[in-house]
Amino acid sequence: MQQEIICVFPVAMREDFARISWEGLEEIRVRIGWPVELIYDNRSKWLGNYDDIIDRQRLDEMLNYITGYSVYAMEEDLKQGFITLVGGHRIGVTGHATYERGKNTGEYQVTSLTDIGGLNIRIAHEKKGCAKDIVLLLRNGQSIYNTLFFSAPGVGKTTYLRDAIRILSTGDAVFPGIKCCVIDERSEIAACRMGKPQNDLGIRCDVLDACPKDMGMRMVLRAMSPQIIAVDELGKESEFDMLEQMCCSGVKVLGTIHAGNLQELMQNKMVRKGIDNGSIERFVELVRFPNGSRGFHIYNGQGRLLWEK
Amino acid sequence: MGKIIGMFFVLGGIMFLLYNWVLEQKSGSRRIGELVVFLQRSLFAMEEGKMQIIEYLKNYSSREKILEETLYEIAKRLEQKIYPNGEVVWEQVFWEKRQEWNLDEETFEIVLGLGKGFFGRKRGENVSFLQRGMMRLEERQTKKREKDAKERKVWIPVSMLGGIMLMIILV
Repeated sequence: MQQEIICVFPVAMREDFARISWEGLEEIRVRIGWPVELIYDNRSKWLGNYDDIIDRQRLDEMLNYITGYSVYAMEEDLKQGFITLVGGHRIGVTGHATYERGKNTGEYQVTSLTDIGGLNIRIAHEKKGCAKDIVLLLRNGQSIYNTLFFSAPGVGKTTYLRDAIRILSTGDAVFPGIKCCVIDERSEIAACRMGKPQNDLGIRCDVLDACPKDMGMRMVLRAMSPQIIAVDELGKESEFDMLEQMCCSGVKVLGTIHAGNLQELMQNKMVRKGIDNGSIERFVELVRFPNGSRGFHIYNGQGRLLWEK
Repeated sequence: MGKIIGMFFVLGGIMFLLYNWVLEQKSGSRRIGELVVFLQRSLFAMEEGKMQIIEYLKNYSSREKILEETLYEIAKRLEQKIYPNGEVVWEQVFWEKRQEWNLDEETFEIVLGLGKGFFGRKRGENVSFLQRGMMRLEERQTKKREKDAKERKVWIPVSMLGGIMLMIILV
């Protein structure tokens, strides 16, 4: 993992990484005119000397390493505002954006991002096995209950969802692997780079990358015969409508949604509709303890607590 | 008898030298042709899809081994991620293989400059640059063919005459 990150930095700065601690490192921020900033759980520090700043030449060098010397080939990724590295690390990009109003949608769309001035390298931390207990408790025969993971931002919904997909698609001695399809609209679950998922989603998982969730669910239902469909960050009514269609087609659903607690979740009318039509059968609340460790509560569709850890 | 055998040896030697020289000239022409094909394919790949330069150069196959080897070497160096600039690697490798390429100076300068079209920041500019490079190479190829045709008109009668004179002297 370290080599994947270090090799995108200018050659002259790579030695400085030998003197840093990678434990707890969450982000590395690069800005023109400033030194490189390392961001940990609860602190930050500068890489090397404070005088060792990033200039235009160094940033261009980094862009070459990040894009494999093919900056022009990553235009679409730059328009989205991020590039995915080998290893699933995501690099947020800022610069000068040009935009126009879309003829069909009427919404503003970024047409290009140039004069790149800042990068934010988010270190990917796959936590294999974190969802092992949860998946066991969500089993329903050979499959699972339709489930939504929820929590406040930053607790790890996507991490747990990813691991759940991996466990389900791989299978084990007791439960065979299940065909999973992931609609990865924001490329955060699989972190595909050139069509290849950088995160481990197991051997029976197909990924539809950068596709809107409602459209993607329709597409995979028609062509990929999924047994489970996984989506991240449900929010729109059309997405919940598609969940209902999935369930009517016999496909099980794993998803995530933002909510601080169960009461807040139950106030969401789309979630209530999902409970009524049976497209949501279980809720998994992820909690973060003061010492940084994670726990979970599992509720049934009526909000009754079934398990907690 | 000795004169006849000696004559055959001399003629054989001359024919051999001429044959090698013609092959050299043709291979130079063929190399330029393969470069033009390479540029055509590259333009198509660049316009149609997300051409990742390292994979593209590494896997490019051509009838000219020297072109394959050169592109492969460029890709291998780029993979190391120690060169700030792809154009520099392009020029470096072509300079190292200059003798094997055996191109005239003007053609070689055109080839050296093609790096800008592969490693520029914007697709539109790269496409435009490579199109110009391709046109210039095609012009060079046409000029070379015309020059070779003119030279053949001179050399063929001269070598025939030389051969006949040798026969008269030796026999």
